[in-house]
Amino acid sequence: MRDYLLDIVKHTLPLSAFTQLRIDCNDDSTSISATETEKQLVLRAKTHAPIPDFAGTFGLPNLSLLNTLLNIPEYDDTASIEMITKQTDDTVIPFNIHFKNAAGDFKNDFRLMSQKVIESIEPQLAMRANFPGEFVPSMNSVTRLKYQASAHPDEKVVQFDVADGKVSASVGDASSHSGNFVFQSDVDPSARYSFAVPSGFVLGALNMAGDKKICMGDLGIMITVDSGLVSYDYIIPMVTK
Amino acid sequence: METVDLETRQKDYAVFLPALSGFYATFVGKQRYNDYVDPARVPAGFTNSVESLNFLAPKDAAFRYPWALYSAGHANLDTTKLVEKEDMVRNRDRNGTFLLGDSGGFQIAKGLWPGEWADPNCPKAAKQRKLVLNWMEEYMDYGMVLDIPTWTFRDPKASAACGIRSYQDAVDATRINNDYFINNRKGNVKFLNVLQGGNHQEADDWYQQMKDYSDPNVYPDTHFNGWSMGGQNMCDVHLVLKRIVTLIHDGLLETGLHDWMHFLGTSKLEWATLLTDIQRAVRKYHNPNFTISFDCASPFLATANGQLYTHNRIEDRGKWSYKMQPGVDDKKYATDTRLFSEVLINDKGIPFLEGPVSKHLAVKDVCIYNPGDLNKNGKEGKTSWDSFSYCLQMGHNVWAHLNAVQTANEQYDAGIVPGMLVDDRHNELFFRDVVNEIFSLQDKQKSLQLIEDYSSFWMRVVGTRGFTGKKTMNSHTAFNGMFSPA
Repeated sequence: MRDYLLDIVKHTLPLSAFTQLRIDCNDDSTSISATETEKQLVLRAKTHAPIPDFAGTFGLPNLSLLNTLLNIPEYDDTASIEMITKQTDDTVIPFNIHFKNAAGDFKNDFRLMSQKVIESIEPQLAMRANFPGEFVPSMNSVTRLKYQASAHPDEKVVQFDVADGKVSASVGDASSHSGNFVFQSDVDPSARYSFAVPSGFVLGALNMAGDKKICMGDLGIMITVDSGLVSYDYIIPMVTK
Repeated sequence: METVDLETRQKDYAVFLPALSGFYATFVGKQRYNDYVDPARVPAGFTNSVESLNFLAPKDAAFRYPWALYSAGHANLDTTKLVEKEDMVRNRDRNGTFLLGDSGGFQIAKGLWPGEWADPNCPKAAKQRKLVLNWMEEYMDYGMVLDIPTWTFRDPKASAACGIRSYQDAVDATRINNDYFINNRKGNVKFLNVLQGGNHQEADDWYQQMKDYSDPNVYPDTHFNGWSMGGQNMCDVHLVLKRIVTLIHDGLLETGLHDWMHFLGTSKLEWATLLTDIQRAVRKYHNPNFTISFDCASPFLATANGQLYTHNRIEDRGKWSYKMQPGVDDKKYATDTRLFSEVLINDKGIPFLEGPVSKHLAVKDVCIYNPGDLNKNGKEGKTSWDSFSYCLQMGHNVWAHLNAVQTANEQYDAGIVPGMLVDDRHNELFFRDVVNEIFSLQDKQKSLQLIEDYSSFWMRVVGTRGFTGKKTMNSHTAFNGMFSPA
């Protein structure tokens, strides 16, 4: 469980976007979902195999606390990290995650959110958007995007224009400083759409460890990062007036 | 009583309309029929009794300002009966004053006028629709059509009460009301076609679905006569400029046909000046009769919350505002004959701008109850104010708000500029110059492109509500397009 929890925290906390994660478990896999308060970023992730001990639907709150606990040396590979459940009426519900070091003399309990609470905060969503443009971003393109974003720290969005078989990225605007470059060549020459998305979340997702894929559509961008344990879809709706 | 003339001072500025409170109007109206306020209670300086507070009156009031807004939402809509408390509105000088009637769409949206508004056959809605139209025809110069704001369906309680369950329901219900107004209007009042929408996409869609009602080619004799900006249209200057350019090129802002545009619920002081810029530019390049008005109820609501307008903050390149703070409410002043303003300044240390109402007030006129006095309910309350104390302070607050708006425009014309209307990152780029250039272009696409080029400039301009300033750029529209509840 420790490896999964570390993987999840590493792929969510650095974005500073989510205050809690919704966990839905079934026999084949475990799903993780979250929506940023201003709806600028949606996470939909799925493990390649079910997380041991995880069951039902519950919420993981306070990711920074969870990160701290997971990185306490007492809770290394020899420690015990297990899900504690609680009987309420006729059902057994996930209650907390119990941390105990190898000697059994150092403990923490990380409290979970109930199904009822997490469902009210993070209702299940059905995706109806298409992302027809798909490519694997090069390291060079990601680096160049970082350069442009760092050159324009006051600009919060990056504009992607897909046309003529290439994806152009622009930062800034016509009335002030601006910059642009070709982010990707050799995409579908018939594709034609433009959108602006928060650059912080684009770069944040592209900074995550794992194999990456970018999908684009007329409503925004989806960046998929596969860590080996979990496949994370970071969906970033475009910003409009 | 000397009357301060705010009518002449108005010049060619966009017109602020105080959203007249029924509470305030009641004092003026009822006093005409009986001593609603004991004459001994009226301040000695009010030589025209309570009528001194009637700023719509041609003379003998503390100040004269002939423009206001009054809402059907809190009016008595029965035009067959004498309603004393509405006499300030009903028996005003029709030639020398201007009243814009708000329709009560807000009341529908809040579920206060229940009915199935999206159903053309709902008898409750039909009755209310008829009452509103009749009332507008009888008493108003301009009136707003009975629109249903698009946010209505997001409030579950209101949504259930008024039968509006989606954006399209709001559109459909408004069309039902518009059709009724078009088919049944008598021509005594000019109507403003209300534009709603929570973002640019919705606002564009709403406009496309409603614009025909203002088109003389579609309704030669009964078309609506101007526009009212609600929703995102009233707080996002980017959308405002796009809409006006589109109206011009759609032939829907024509001289003599569509001369008036109203901005609902606009209280930011900077907007008083930027709306003047837009009015002047449209008058210069397209429609010389074009007039912009904007309203808010702040002077009345502030008093209800115990707040008094005290002074204005108008600094070059700064944030502009009218300042309020709690006034004087203390029973120890019930026998104090000093001026109200003297007590505010000397006892309370409040920087107070004296006005034509307050200069006639002794502090005992506001703080009327002595310790031990019983109020009209026969009980000793905590406050030293009676209901007329509120009315008197509302009179001051209305003047103070009007004074703030007119002073802002005067200062703006003198070269003092609010921070949000100038971008001096690279060179001095003034809002008024960009607006002038937009409307000077006679090509729609060139005007719209110029508006887009200054997209980031418009985000400096913070509006009163909705998504304003930097928040005008947001992910909500795309998110709603991408996802639906599972």
